[in-house]
Amino acid sequence: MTQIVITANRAREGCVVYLAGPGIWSKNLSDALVIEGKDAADALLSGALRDAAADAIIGPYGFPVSVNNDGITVLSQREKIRIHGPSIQIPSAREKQHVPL
Amino acid sequence: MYHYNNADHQLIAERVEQFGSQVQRRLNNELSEEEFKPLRLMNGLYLQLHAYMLRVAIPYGTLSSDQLRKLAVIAQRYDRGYGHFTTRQNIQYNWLELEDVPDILVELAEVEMHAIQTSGNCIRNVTADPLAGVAADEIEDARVFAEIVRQWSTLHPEFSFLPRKFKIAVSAAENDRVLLRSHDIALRLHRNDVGETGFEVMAGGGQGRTPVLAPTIREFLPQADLLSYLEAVLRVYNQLGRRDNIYKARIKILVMETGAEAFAAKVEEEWARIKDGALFLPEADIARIKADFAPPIYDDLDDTDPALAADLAKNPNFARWVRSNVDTHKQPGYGIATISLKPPGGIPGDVTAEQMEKIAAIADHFGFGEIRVTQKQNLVLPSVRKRDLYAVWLELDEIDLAAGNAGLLTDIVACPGLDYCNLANARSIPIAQRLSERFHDLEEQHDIGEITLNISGCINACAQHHTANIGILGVDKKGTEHYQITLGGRADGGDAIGTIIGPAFTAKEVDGAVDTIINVYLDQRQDGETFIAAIGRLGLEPFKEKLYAAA
Amino acid sequence: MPLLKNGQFIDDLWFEVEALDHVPADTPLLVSLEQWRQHRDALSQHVVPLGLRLANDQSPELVAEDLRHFTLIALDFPKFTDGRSYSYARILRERYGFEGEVRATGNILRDQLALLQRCGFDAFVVPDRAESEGWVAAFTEISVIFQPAADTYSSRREAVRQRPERTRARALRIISSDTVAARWAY
Repeated sequence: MTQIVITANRAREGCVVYLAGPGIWSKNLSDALVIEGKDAADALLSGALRDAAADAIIGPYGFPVSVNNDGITVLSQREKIRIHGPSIQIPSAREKQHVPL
Repeated sequence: MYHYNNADHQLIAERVEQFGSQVQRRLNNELSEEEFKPLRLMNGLYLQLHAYMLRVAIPYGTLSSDQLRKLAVIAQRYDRGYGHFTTRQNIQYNWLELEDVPDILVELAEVEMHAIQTSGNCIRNVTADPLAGVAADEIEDARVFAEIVRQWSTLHPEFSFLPRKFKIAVSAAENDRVLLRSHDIALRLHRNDVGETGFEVMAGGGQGRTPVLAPTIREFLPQADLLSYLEAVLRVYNQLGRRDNIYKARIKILVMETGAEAFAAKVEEEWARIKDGALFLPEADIARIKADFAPPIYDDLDDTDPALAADLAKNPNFARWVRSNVDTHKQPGYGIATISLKPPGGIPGDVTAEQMEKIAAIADHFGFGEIRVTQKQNLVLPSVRKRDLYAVWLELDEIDLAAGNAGLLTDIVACPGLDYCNLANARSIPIAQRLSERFHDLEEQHDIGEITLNISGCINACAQHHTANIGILGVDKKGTEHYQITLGGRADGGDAIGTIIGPAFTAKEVDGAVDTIINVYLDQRQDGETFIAAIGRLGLEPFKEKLYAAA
Repeated sequence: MPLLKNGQFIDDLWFEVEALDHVPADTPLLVSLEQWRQHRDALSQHVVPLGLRLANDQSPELVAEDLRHFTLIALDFPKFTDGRSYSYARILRERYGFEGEVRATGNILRDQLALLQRCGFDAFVVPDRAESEGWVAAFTEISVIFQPAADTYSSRREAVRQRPERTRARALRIISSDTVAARWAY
């Protein structure tokens, strides 16, 4: 059976999140609910769509993963990039600095 | 340059407040995403793979040093310390959080900048010749008309919900530096047989899924009729453009399906009704805007500068940089200096906040405080005294922006691709990086000569690969990134759409393929012909043969 | 759904009917284009106000000759993204000089109200929450304009009338209207 994880972007920060439980979204892939089979995934996806406004997430969708002892592995380049960020080294590789106004 | 008057300031202030309250309502869940999305799109705010992306408008690619410094501050304060310059002369920030955006807009407003209409189904940033005002081959400053069109198109109530986005470009020079025929409307100012200056109007061009070169719908349009004619085109498009399928909604589809002549006739019909109305542009109005683009006070110099001659002689790297990156200025003793944002292994179009600050300082010191953004994702110091070029180059070298590759093979145009963009099928930046590293040798690049190479990460073709001499399109082939190569595209007046030469290559194979293509050219070129001229003469067979030779 | 006109929420006095066979002569009647075409003769005799509703793909050009029969034209927005009727409204006002009510129905957003008004709409069918959400304020949130439209057009006609020697229309630099003092910069 295909194993599926549901993902979206959190409306406030725009960051990537994964469905970890009913109405619960986490930034960590390791928290994600792994769903067995497309039908179960579709059901949870409808729930996610309904809850989108309340949960302040945008654009949920499911994607296939594989699971083993090391945990959850994403299969596509796109999802790899969504976890790890751009595959290139960004010009100034440091986090945002808050310069007081 | 154009400075905001009270009306502009008031508009921006009101708009900032309006969007600020829209964001608040969104964060409080008073607005759903469905309701908020069109509003944020009208303010240039996209949701990309990792975060919100804001596209800030840089009208006709002209920046003051103060504005560039502000862009640096925003990069540092709200983003990850850098920004990305685009093929339509805008800048993008990739790592924003929604609640910071209203503050960012307030900061932008302080330097007369905004993100209005940089996305959504409305008239977008009006782009113009990046060398307008200083280019030796122009007849007038294209930005004057770009500014007039910008004003007219700002929050135009009738055209805010078009079938699809609408892009306008303006050129007034002999050489096309704006990709005229890839635009929804392009305006080419020229002189007719009786010496009048007016516009050739082209409509219905575009890249994307169905690349089309815009046909000419009017050979000569007097300057005074510019806005009324544009209004007629937009009104026809707004009413008749397809709304049933977003992939068929651009004006290029309407022009293709109607036929260019029939479309032009419809425009003329509407235009006849309105041409003498309130959009008529008296000369006095045009003159007033022209005054805002009056050139700076240049020094009275000889065109040959002995200091420059000496600098060229003593430093071959500098000489090479001048050869590729400095263009002829209309004012004697001055040069137009391109700052290539494509260092070897670098990310095309990306600039750090520190680099932006430094460039602003260089512009203040050596260049009348003005910077331009080009359609090739480079920056330009439009007016540098020839005697100062060496000092400028040294300063650019200190910030790793002295690559002497403008117009050469590693002057690559690449979209953000799958590393950033929701729409992408494949990554484009790593391909650009590998190619720019592989071909970094400047002597070799000069030997290859003038050539364009553009990389798009998906069929939307934001890197305009269809009109590149070598075009690379990222595709998803069975879950792996592959790259389709096109050859023969051009946007230099002899416009053409490139042809796919064969099956796609893997990421690892791309630079080898480009190497093969270049070698075919080097082996078979005649009489110093450019790459694109050689393709015209040879056709694609010699290239296909070598690329797809049986192993 | 409430009707917003002149900054106020008012009652909608118009009736739409499916079948036109039994319409009392004194009912303000809003008909579709199809109904108008089918029953034109009978409807032209209609004593009290007659209105026409057009769909998003029905240009006022289709009824240019008949506009004098209507005191209301309703233009529909099945989706707020369909902007055709912005042009239709301007055509009604500026090409045909229509002076009756031009009403927006269907899916319109609060932030479209000012734009709709500039194109010549003067009445808006809005969701029930419009009053509590302060939609009326939307009309005055952007007070600066950068191009002429239907709202400046009628002022222009006034201006032209007052200066008969200006027989050829010129670009107007300063426009004032009741709600907005505006100019555009070119």
